[in-house]
Formats: sequence, structure tokens, C-alpha cells
Amino acid sequence: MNGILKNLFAARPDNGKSAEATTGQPDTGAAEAALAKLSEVLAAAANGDLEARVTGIDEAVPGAEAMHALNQLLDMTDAYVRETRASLDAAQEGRFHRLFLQRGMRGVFAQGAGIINASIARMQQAAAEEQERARRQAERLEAAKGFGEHLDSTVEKLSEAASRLDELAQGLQSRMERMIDEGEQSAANAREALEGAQAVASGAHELASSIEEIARQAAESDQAVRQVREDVGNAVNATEKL
Amino acid sequence: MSRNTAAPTGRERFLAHDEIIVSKTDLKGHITYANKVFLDIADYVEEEVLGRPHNLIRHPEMPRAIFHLLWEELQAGREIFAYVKNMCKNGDHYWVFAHVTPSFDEHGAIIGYHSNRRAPGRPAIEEMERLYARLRQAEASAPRPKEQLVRGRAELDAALKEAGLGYEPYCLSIWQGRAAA
Repeated sequence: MNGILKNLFAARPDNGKSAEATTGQPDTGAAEAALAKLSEVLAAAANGDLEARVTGIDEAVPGAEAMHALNQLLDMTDAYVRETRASLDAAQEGRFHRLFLQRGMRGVFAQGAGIINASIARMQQAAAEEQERARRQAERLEAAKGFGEHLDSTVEKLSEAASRLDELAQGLQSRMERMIDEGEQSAANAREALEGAQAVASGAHELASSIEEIARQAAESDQAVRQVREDVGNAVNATEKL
Repeated sequence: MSRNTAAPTGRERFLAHDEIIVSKTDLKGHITYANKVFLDIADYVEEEVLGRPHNLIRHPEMPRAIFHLLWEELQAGREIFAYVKNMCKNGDHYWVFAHVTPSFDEHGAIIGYHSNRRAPGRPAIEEMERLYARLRQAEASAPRPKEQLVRGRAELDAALKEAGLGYEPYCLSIWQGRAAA
């Protein structure tokens, strides 16, 4: 409370009555007091304390106009500082709607306000772009994961089919060996058995190629997934820094 | 006597487009500074306002809910915006878009309150007249002040929900000239 009262710096030391009205002589006491008051407020402001104002200005005392002008200057400077802090604080928190209120700002104060608002608009755009990038990366990661899972199940099925084919081939070979051992020279049987064996061999070869191809693709997509994971990680870090 | 007992005249005065009304109060809301623009538009001389409660210029048609919200935010150390209808010494009125902030000392303690008030455009005034009539009606529907306040605040929340905006974005969007929803 005392802090506020000491800032009320009344310009009149004698309760408002200018000595000029009673004696007809210019009151040097009042003028000196007014000048002292002016100096006090100016010194405070120069020190970065924008709370002080001149109150109780006696219009009859020389310097009254200067005191009004000082108050006006302090009002505008104070408003400029408050708007700067509030709008930039808000922008840092992502509240980009809270712009610098420019009305009432004049000259370079108005120019500064415009520059700050342009900066806030750019900050808003950058934040939106970063959000969009992170969203797209997350989407890609999800898609890659899905593909990877699908790939896993396909490889599993092919693996099972290869095992069965392998069993079939072994079974066929056993039959062929038995046929040769038992000396059965039936041409038809032999042809059938050969064709069967060739089909199995060809099928097994195709299967092996497919599995090889899929394994290659899986390795590639694994690399892709790793890359996407890295990108998303970087994007998240960048977003956290905003 | 703290409150201005003049009856509202219904005559409107206008703050100039590029002028700012500045006033400061202590922690209790008593005026410690009022700039020339303040004094001129409200027809006061400095001695008449220094030390007086700021509600000296409160217009009876302002809903209490708005001032309640104002004090709530300020005491939490936050800035707040509000469209305010103020009353001159003789009962004339003038509209402002007020921006009120706490003032802090070097230790971060609140030492008073500061307001910059600017001239709103006609569409903003018309929209706020409508909103405040609605809030007043809600407040008038309750018998006691405490309940009046609750209803006023509830009605304000309802209006903001309809607009799909928080209080501050709502005020600022009107200031920036967004068409009413």
C-alpha cells in the first residue's frame, strides 16, 4: 500500500491553492515543487519503473503541459510493454488468438505492434505445419506397422506350405525308392512319379523364390519402418521444443 | 459516497478511435491514477476520482457477472478483457473495450490494477448489448445477490458454449471484427 501512495507524487505541496491566486506573484515554491516532481517521475521511468505518474497537476504552474505530456508518454510506453508481454507470453503457450492490441498506439509504437503481430502469425503457421508433419509421420508409421504385421502372417503361411511341400516331396521320394527296390518297371507309374516329382521340385523352387522375395521385401520394409520411427521421434522432439 | 447516484440519461458519448483511457487502482480498487482522457469523457476533475472506488463509473445496466469474472481473473494474477458500459458524472454513458491487468512489483507481488480502455466498433457494442441484456435477465430472475451472480455466470457460460469459444477468444474475435456467430 505504501508503495502505491508513494507513487502518487502530488505536484502541489500546498493542498491545491496556487499562491499566484492570492498574492499575484508567481509562486516559485510551487514551480520548484512541480519541477522536483517531474524529475522524480522521469527518474523512476528511466529506471524501468513505469508505475509512476504525475498527479495533482496545477494548470497555473509552468510545466503543467509538460506533466500532462509525460503522463501520456508513460501511458503509451506502459501499454506497449504490457501488450508485448501479454501477446508474446500467449503465443509461447500456443494461444495465438491473443494478438497485440494496436489501437491507440502511435508512430513507432504502432510499427512495433505490427511487427510483433506479424511474428506471432508466423509462429502460428510454423506450429500448424509442425503439427501436420507429426501427424503424417504417425500415419506412415501406422501403415508400415500394419504392412509388417500382414507380411509376418503371409510369411508364416508360406513357411507352413513349404513344410508340407517338403513332406510331400520326401514322401514321393520314398515311394519312388520303394518302387525301384521292388523292381516295378511299369512305365506309366514311372512317368507319373517323375512328373509328380518334377512338379514338386518346380513348386518347391517357386516357393523358395517367393519366400526369398518376401524376405527381401520384409528386410526393406523393416528398414523403412526403422527410418519412419526415427523421423517420428525427431518430429516429436521438435514439437516439444515449440 | 462511493457510487454515482445520477440516473442514466441514455445519451451515448464516444471515445475517439485512437485514444486510450488509462486508470490505475490500488489493491482495494480505489483509483490511484486517471488520465486526461478518462476525466474528459466522464466529466470529472482529478480530485473527484482519486481515492474513490473504481465502481464510481459503473453503469447500472452492466451485469454483475462480468465484474465478478473480472475480479476473479485479476486476483489470480491474470489479464482480462471485457466490454464495459461506463457512466459519466451526469448519467450519460460510453462503451469501452477494457483490458485490465495486475501490476507487479520486482518480487512478483500484485501491487495494484491497471486498465487500458479502447473504443469498440458499433457491431461489437450491439452484440454486447444483446448479451448483457440476456445476462441481466438471468440475474434479475433471482431474489438475492449471491444467487443473481450464480445465474449471471451460468448464463454467460451458456452463451459462450453456444458460440463455441472461451471468454477471451470470444471477446478478442469480436474486437477483431469477426461476424457474430
